[in-house]
Amino acid sequence: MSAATRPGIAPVGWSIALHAVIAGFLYLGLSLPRPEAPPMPLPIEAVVVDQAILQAASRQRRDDDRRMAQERQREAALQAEAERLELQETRRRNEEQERLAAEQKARAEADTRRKAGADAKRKAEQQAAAKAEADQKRAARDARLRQEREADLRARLAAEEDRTSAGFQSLKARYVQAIQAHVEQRWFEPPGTGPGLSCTVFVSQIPGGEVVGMRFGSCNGGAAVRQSIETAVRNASPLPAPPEPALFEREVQLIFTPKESRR
Amino acid sequence: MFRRALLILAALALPVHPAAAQLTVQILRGMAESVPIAVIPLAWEGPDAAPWDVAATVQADLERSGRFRPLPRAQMIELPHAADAIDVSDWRMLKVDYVLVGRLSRLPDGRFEVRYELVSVANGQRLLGTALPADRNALKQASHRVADAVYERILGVRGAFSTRIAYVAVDGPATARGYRLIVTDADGANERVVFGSPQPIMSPAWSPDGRSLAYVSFHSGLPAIYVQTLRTGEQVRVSARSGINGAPSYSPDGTQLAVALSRRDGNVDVYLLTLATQELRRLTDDAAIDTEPVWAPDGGSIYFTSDRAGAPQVYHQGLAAGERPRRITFEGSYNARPRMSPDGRELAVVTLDGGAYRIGAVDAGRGALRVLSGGQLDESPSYSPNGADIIYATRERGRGVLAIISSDGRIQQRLAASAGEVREPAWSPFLN
Repeated sequence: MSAATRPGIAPVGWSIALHAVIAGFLYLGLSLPRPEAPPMPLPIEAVVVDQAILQAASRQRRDDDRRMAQERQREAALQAEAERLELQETRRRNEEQERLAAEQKARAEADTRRKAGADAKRKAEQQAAAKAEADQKRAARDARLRQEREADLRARLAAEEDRTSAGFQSLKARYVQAIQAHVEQRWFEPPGTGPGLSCTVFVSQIPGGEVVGMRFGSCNGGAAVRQSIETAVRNASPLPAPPEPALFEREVQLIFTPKESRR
Repeated sequence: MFRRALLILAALALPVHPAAAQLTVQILRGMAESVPIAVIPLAWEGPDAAPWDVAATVQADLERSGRFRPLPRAQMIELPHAADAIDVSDWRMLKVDYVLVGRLSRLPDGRFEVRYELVSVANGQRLLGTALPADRNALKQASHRVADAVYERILGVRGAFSTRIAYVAVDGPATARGYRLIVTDADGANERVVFGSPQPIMSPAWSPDGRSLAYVSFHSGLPAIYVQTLRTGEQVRVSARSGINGAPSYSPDGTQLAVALSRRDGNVDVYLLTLATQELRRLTDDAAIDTEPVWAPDGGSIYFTSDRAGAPQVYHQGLAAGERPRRITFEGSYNARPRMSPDGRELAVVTLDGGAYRIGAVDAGRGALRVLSGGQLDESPSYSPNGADIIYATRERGRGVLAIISSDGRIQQRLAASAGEVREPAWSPFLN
């Protein structure tokens, strides 16, 4: 039984025990002895003998009687008390037994219930665990399957993508190279240019490669360099067609950065 | 039309951030060897023939530079004479990048005027529009100046068509040699003999103002250095010290010559000679031969050849007292006769390259060497004043001739020269 279930069981036991105690008290209360009635005066037979003697005798008798009466009363009282005590004791024992029985019963019941609950719980837990395990297994299997499917899909997609992407990249590189060679062949690099020159030109082309506009970005070259670049770009029109129509870009950035010195 | 399209596109492209350009292409080198240009014959109105074919001279200059590819006249489909008469689409079809048009007219004072305009076919822009007055006999010079302007406007470098070249011509049989110091226009035309002698003439050097030549002549029997003023022909002997007097080189301010002298001790070293005072200062002092000095453009140091390391190499020495020579060339077993590029960044040298003597360019700072020429016995390099070309002497069919190579080594040309053998060319500074 897990620790978490213990607080749930205890209140039930306590509740049952309490109910039993209250029931016991109620029972006791109802059967309590009524307050003892005063002892009834006993009937006395009187015989007058001699007045004096008689009186004396009578007094004596009365006294004796009284004494005896008192004695009887006392005995009776004691008897009653004893009886009462005995009764009380009996009841108490009975009560105690009953209480014990009740308690035992309650305990047994509680025990039973607890046991039942625990069993149920254990069973439930077992079932839950089993279910969870099953679920888990199924989920794992599903996940594995899904993963396998996904991996497979991914692999196929990746392969696909790789093919197209690598192809795309290589086609794009080819396109860039074609434009590069096309422009380079038409660029007269003025004397004095070389490393250090950097001219960026944004060339607008329309499908078909016709250059319809150009503008200089940053350029540290002089008028002759700009002139040579503008002429090269104009002469490069139409630019080479892309190997794949999707590669076409309206705007092409040309960066003129000679590596060798043209003195 | 192109310009209109360009404007529209510029408007369209405005919102497009530069980073939005999807395709980036790097242009790492220009491969076009020459710029296509149409030099339209100039209009001439007059009963007589035009006094000079300006366009022909301009065209020849541009073509000879190797950097232009003029359209043959026969292919010109129209002959406009003004920028606004040029239909750029026609010239675009002819794959011409620039059109030069103009008009030659007679001025009221009897002189002539060359009026010309340069138009870019790429954008229809008028790049030049100038009028040059000239005497009849200066029309060729005016034509060279037009070529200079076109060259500079398109290439960004001042043209050197109006400059001159000095060289030594040798002719006659070995027993009766004749030496002549000659100055020609940069195109080899207009040859004038400055000085002639049956004894050797060597090492001509231009004064920075282009008015004088210093050279070595043996006509007195011994080598001496002379300075000759071109206009007057006046010749002044500036150094006839005992032993060798050789290899003069003008300081940038023209007041001194760096020379190689052996003097009495026979040890050839570099000296600085102040022309006005004949004051002589010894720059180097080494048992080896120090010769062929040349000035740095700032006048603060001298490059020279020395074999102090066993074979000729180029050294650099500041002029301040106590400066020591520093070796510049380390590539190759022979690097000699340095000549400074006008910007001071490179030295043209004669370098031994695989058994052949060739012209190389040495980075003055780092010493790195590029071999430029491809002959077997290339000698005496000299930079054009714009630094674009190097003229040098080479041998062709056993004969000494002049060749010009672009300083990037791409363009080579031969210079038409007079008969005989030519040596030691020296390119003049800018003359106007």
